[in-house]
Amino acid sequence: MNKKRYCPNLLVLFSILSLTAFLTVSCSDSNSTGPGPNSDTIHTIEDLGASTDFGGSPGEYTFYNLQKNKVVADSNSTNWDIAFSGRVIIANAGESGPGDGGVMVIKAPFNEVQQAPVEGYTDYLDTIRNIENGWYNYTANEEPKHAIIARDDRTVVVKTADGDHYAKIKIISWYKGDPDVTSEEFEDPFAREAGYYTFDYLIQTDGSRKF
Amino acid sequence: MKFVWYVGIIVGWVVLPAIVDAQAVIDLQGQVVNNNNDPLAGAHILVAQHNAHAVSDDQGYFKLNLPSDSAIQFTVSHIGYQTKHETIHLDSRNPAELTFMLKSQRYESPTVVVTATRSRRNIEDVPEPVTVISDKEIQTSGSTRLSEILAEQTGLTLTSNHGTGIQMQGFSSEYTKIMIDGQPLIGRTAGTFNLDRITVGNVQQVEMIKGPSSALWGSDALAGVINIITEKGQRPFELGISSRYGTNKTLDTGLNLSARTNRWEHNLFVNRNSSDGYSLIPGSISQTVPAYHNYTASYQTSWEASDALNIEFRGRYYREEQSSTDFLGSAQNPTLLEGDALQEDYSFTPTLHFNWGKGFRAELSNYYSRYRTDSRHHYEQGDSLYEQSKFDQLLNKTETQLSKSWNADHTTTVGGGFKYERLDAKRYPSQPAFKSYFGLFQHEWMPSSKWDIIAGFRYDGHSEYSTQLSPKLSARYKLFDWLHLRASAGSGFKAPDFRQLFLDFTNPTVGYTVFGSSSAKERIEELRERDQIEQILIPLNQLEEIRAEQSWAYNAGIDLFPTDQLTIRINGFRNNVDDLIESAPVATKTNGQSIFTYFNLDEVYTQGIETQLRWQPSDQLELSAGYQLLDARRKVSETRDIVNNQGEVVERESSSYEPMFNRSRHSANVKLFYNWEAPAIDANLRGRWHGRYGRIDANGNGYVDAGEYEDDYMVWDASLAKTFNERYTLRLGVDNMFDFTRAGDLSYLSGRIFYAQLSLQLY
Repeated sequence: MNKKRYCPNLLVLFSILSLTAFLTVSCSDSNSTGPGPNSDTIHTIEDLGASTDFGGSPGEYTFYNLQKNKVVADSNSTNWDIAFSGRVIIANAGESGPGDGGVMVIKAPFNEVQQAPVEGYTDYLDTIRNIENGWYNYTANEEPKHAIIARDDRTVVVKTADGDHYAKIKIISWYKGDPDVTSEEFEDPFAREAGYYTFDYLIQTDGSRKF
Repeated sequence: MKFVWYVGIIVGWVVLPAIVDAQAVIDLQGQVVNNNNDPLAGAHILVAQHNAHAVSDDQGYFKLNLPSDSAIQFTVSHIGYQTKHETIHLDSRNPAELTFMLKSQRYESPTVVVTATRSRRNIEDVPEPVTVISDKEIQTSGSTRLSEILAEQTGLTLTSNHGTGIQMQGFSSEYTKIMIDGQPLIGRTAGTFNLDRITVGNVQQVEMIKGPSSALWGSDALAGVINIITEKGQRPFELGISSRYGTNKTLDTGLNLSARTNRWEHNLFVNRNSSDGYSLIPGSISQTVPAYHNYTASYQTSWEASDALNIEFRGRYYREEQSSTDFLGSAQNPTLLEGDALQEDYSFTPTLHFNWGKGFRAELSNYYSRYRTDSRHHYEQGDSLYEQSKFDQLLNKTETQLSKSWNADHTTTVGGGFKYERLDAKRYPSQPAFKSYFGLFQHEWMPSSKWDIIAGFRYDGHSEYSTQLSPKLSARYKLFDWLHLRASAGSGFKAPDFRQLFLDFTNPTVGYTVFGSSSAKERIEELRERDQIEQILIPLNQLEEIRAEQSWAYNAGIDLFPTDQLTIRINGFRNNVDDLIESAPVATKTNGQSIFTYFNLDEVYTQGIETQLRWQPSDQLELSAGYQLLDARRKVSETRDIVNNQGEVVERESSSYEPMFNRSRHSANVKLFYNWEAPAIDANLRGRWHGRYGRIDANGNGYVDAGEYEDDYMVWDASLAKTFNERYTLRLGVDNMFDFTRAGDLSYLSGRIFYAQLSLQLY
């Protein structure tokens, strides 16, 4: 006998989570063998904290250097390639940064993206207004309610800040600990810690567009 | 003017004096016995046409004085037994000694249905696949709410989404019409009609038609129709009380009172239902189902004003209060809120039934129904109001129906009506109201005793969206006594609801906006004039008028009666819908958020096979089993990018029909009823199984993939009852014996429930 239940206020949800989420980063490099990244290596980044702000709009950014595989603080430089804030991803280009980089979403699974496109890059991945072509699905009133679920038929392609290299990214989860989204614990929107990116990426260092 | 016309008809038929011939009178003697030939004392023998009534004595004997030459209709009733209706031709010179044998109510099985044709018909004759749940089945199952008894039926699945809804032939709750005595119930939340609102304490039978029935019943009858037929007293005076108490302090108490004379009958029912609620997630602040209590009262009266006119009135009232604890913020550091929710609905239906003889009947009714809710949240500390929301819906429907049986082979039914609906809620600032009207036609033809063919259509006109024509053709062929064939083709529709037409909602925290299709154009223009629109994605003049969602459906089935004890029904179905209403963005606002409105977008189909087996190897034992195979798919359009060797992105479009979430491909049930006659003990065991189903879109692609299935589950119920003196029954039962629960989508399943139920038929 299910009764009408009160649906939690998203503002409160997001604002509370943004406090706990901000700048708590842990990285692991699961398969890296040597000091320098190469195109055969898939790096796995776990729980990269990205500030969740009002409705997931851009707030504080977490900047990432894909070639060095680390978080960087110096935002006004070409030292970073992409940055995360809530559901927003930006690249070091245009209004977002001084670099010659770029970011775009390819509607294909990670393994099927064999090449980086020549053009089509942007400095700001607007997945809030353009959900259809984004990297995630917002569940709204479907189970699990009000969740951001990464799509496995989407790949984010990044041009590095120097404009010379390409990387492809498979976003795996937007929640801390890459939780099983089908589990009972995940059903409670309050129990989720939002704004933690877990992703795989592969960067091409030989200067070609081939992955 | 219409009113004057109606009054004229009524007065005409009321004042027409009945012409009674002077006839010879005979003394009639008879006896009433039970199926063991034991005399039944205190049975009522009623001859309504001559205002005659007798009560049988200790030896079961009765005497009556009656005119001799007519066919006399007897109604013989006794507490604990099925009422018998029998027509007997008497001969004055040689009056027969009459014996009426009454069968115990335990063997009752329903035979007459109304939902298939809008008239009382034998279930074996109608071409539609009608499923009937008898009051006996409801009682032996210990059910108190409609949801509990529907959960046990083949092909039905309960759903939890803003209340307990029903999934029929793969369609979600908003596509099934729920009626009481042929009148639609209103008050849906997010499309779900909460079946927990309906008590089954005064139900004679529940009739279900799966597959579209819009040709008769109009909007919402796309997946099917559930019609609850309320119980009417058969004896001059009846009084029954039933009470059930169980786990979670769930208490359900009902009182049935009825009185009737030859011309006047009254049926009153009162019910109270309450529970402390339950929590499926240990340690959570909010209960899965909060504590509540509710009341239902219903009253029906009818008066046989003349042989030609029967005046009927029905009223129903329901009220529920629910109190919950909710919170803001995180569960670790919550700000507690006290919630109070009130739900109320009531309806009045005066009806005039005309019977002019020679197969000519008519009905004129007005149905007024109102549903309102008022929910508030207060801060636990300080008691200030956090939020209040109200909802108030009104429906008034005036309709008339005429039917004429031209001869034994042909019957025509025509009808028409007018509906007014209004809504008052915060999200609908304009207080939307709409008017609709409809006309229906149905012709039934029985070319031979083997054939029954029904053709009909209904036309629905509407002030806010396109008109709708819903035809249907169905046929039944009795190939042999033991093999009947059935087939039907027809259309069903669901009108756009208030939300889809009139919603005007901006999410206060995220900031997106949803407009109903009726107001989208004007509201976006207004926002544009105020410079709040960044970009319009679909030119406003290309926004089309929204249409009702329409299905085309085909049903074909076989009924097998290999022996008297065995019935097998098999029905195949296919439903096609290509204009399901979905929301999609139409513009973007300067705050970065989208404006959504509603479009006829989605295409789905559902198909499957349903089988039902009933086997009664002896008077003591009944076994039934059901199975449904369901394939429900939605059209999914995908765009796939390919980066070619030149580094260009090439889009490739593809579309396919993919499985829908929350639908089990396989589902089945089994029920075993045993009845020991001498000690008057009955026992039953009922199990229902739902195969695996897609539940959560883990990869966000919009359809069920291999890794997204939730395990199958099975729920077992059982009960044991002892009846004393054919009047008093004590039932002990356990629902969900193995304590299966699944929070979230199966939140209506509360875990194991023990209960005791006492039913007293006092008169």
